[in-house]
Amino acid sequence: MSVVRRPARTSVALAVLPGLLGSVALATTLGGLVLGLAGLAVVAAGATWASRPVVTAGALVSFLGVVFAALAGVSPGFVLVGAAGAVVTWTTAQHVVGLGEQLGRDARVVRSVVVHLAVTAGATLVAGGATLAVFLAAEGSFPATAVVFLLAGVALLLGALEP
Amino acid sequence: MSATNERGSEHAGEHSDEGGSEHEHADEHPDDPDAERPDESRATNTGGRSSWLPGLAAFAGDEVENRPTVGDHPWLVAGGLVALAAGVGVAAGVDSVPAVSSEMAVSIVAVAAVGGALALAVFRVNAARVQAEMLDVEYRGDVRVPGAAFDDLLAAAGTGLYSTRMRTRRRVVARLREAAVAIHAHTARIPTETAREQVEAGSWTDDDVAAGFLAADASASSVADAVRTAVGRQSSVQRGADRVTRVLADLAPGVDFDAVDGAGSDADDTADADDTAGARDGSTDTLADEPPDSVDTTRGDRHAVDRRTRRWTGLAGVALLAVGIGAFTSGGSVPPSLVVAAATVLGVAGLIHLSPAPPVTVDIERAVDPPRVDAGDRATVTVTVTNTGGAMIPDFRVVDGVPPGLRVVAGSPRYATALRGGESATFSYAVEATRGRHAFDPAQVVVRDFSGALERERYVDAAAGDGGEGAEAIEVSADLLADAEVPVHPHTAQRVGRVLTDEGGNGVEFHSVREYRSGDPLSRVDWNRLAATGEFATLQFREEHAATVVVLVDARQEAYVAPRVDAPGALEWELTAADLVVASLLAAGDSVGLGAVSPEWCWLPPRGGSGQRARARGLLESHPAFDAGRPARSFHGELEERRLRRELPGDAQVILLSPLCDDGIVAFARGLHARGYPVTVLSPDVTATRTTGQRLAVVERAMRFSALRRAGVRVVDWDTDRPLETAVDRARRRWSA
Repeated sequence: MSVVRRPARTSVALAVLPGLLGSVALATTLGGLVLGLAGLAVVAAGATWASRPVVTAGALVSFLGVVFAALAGVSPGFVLVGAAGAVVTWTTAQHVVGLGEQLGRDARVVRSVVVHLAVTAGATLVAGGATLAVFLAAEGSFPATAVVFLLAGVALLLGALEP
Repeated sequence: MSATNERGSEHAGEHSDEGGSEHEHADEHPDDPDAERPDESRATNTGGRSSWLPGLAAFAGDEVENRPTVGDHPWLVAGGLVALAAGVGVAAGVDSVPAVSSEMAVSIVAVAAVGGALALAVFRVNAARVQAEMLDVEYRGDVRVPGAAFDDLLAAAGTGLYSTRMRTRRRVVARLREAAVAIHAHTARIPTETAREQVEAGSWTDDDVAAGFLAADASASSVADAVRTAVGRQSSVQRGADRVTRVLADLAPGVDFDAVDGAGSDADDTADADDTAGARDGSTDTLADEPPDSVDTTRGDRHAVDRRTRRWTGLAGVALLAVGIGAFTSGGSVPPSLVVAAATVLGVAGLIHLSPAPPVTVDIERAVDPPRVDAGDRATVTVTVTNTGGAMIPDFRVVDGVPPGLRVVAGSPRYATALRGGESATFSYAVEATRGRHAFDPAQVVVRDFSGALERERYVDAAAGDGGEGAEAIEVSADLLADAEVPVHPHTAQRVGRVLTDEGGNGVEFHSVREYRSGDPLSRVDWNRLAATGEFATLQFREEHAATVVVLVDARQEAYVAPRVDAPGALEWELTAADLVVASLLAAGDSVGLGAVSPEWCWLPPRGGSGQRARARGLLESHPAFDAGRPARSFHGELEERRLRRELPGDAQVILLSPLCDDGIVAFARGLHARGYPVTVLSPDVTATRTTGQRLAVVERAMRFSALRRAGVRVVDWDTDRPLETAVDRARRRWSA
């Protein structure tokens, strides 16, 4: 019995699930939905072949769908769900590919995948939700430019200081 | 045992404190038999480069860790701090930079953000994603597919420096030329020297490509080869070698790849149907990976390693990209929804900094059911992993240390889960038992933190499970039915047995009539003749004598071969056959001895009787010469042969069990035969035909058969898909013809 070093279908399905939810949240704009679903298909294919670059490329397309939807005027709450879906699908697909490479297709890995999915989904929703709350609470009184500056600063620092 | 030694040094978030004490050698194999392969790196650098962080080497065996510092990316840090300060400034309503309008400021941010995104994207592409490489425990360790070495040689002929490639090419051609000379001399019935001249002149075959490849004046275009190999095509060396091998296969007696392919795939189908019925869905089988041609499950460098996986590298760039795009397209004011999207992405990027280091407080229990099984049966191994600490292990991956001599036939010895403090999880798999005692290796454990950014690899010895047995090893007893009758040469000892001789005497079958001599028994006087003619005559019957047979099992390094690394190896088949042969010869009244062609001396002097069967089986099951692991020392034919000849009785004949995958054993068999010990070679066929090297191995094995037959040695080619009796019957028809 040989070890097939690719993820099982269940794992891939689990990884794509949050992206699917995110894409549905963007369904009010056709472009966002199409980009999101096309990216998801690429992610699913990349995960099945255990190819990380393909997974990343697909997730990037999905995220561009989120950006498109945001520019098209979808409300921040739905964009939050869409962005979280794209990011969680990306990291879970990477996780699943790693499991496939290390443990193969026949190993039982579902709990590990679900925990990873839940933790990353929580992190994205908390961060996005907090920002959304700031926007809603401080509407009018708080300059949006400040938030943009703060966000860019945090992003640069996180990128630079990533362990 | 457990991983308790890790607990003392465990401080969440302070991995750097662990220092050198962590460098434990959980399991050392200083006498690693496979010296041919250099130790591979423990880590897989899927990105192809090492590290982009200065000072943090991502090399194998490294221990964590260098925390990132501001100095690693001073420009990004500076830009980030400026942006933060500006944000705080704007929020506080400070008009310190009144000259800069809000739109302009946002445009600057947009440019900076897109620039930062690009920089992080470059890091992403260049960063080496690192993760532990898990051992191939499913396969039999230490077996190779016949022809794997030649395949390696062929692969090497397309890469490397010019001089290396040319040298490799010359070795390939020399090897093929030897085979071609031998086959051409055999089929054309000409002397070897003439055959060599014709091969070098290129006139040995009608196939121009094959003839030209082996000709003495063959030229090679190396640059074209390098290009072909680089784009994944076959090099000219590979194509030429493949062509030559096919021509040789047509010439070689008894080699038919089409037939072999058909039989092989049949065997695979039945094996798969048995092993994985219902375990996989049918459609994904088309994706099935070929197992490697050789694996080493007893790798020596089992170190405890912590490493950074770099799986998040560049993610912050996506957030910057969203902000940048928003700033550009909206003419200065980023829509709130995009800001929320960017913050969502950053949430995950920030998770790395919030994840505590995962504890490695793991206990592993292993139970084998049943702990003692018969060869060929399955034993179920149930592994229970427990997080003995209080903190959660968010991502726990384990590969159990399946003994190298066993192969996994159902389930998977790999498992991944998350374990809260004190929680246990259980998984199980089935191994197919082969004879002997098989000790488990330590389990390979990999834990990761919540974000998956930090990975810690450990090797943990298992404790006994509830059954109380089986944590250390599986005991397997061979239990084989012996009902085949194996023919022996008409070369006998002076005892009554089952071999009909051409000597007249006591017996059943009529042989001749001779004149009466005084003392002949009355029962053999030909009374009819006496009544008719008055002359006394004595009837003679063919005498039945016993043979003295020594069964020799080839257990040299070269005999550790298998058609696939997940299939039973030659030695398994040899031992099965040896047990069968010994039992059937003993049942027929022969006296039977047993020996190993191995650097490890194993010798059972020939005797008859049922006790001998138990003695022989005891040796076959547990003698170190027949160990499932490949012997570390090589076999020196001359010396060992001389020692064996001292032990062999003068009237003994030899049944040699060997895969015949190298020339040394052929010389050994011919040597014994020439010194008056009639030799029968019983050879299980463990060759494969998937690659050029494997096909060449088939051709070379066929030529060894010819060489042995020419020397008068009887040869039985045993297709292991069929019972041994079938092969013996077919061979016997050939001998009597």
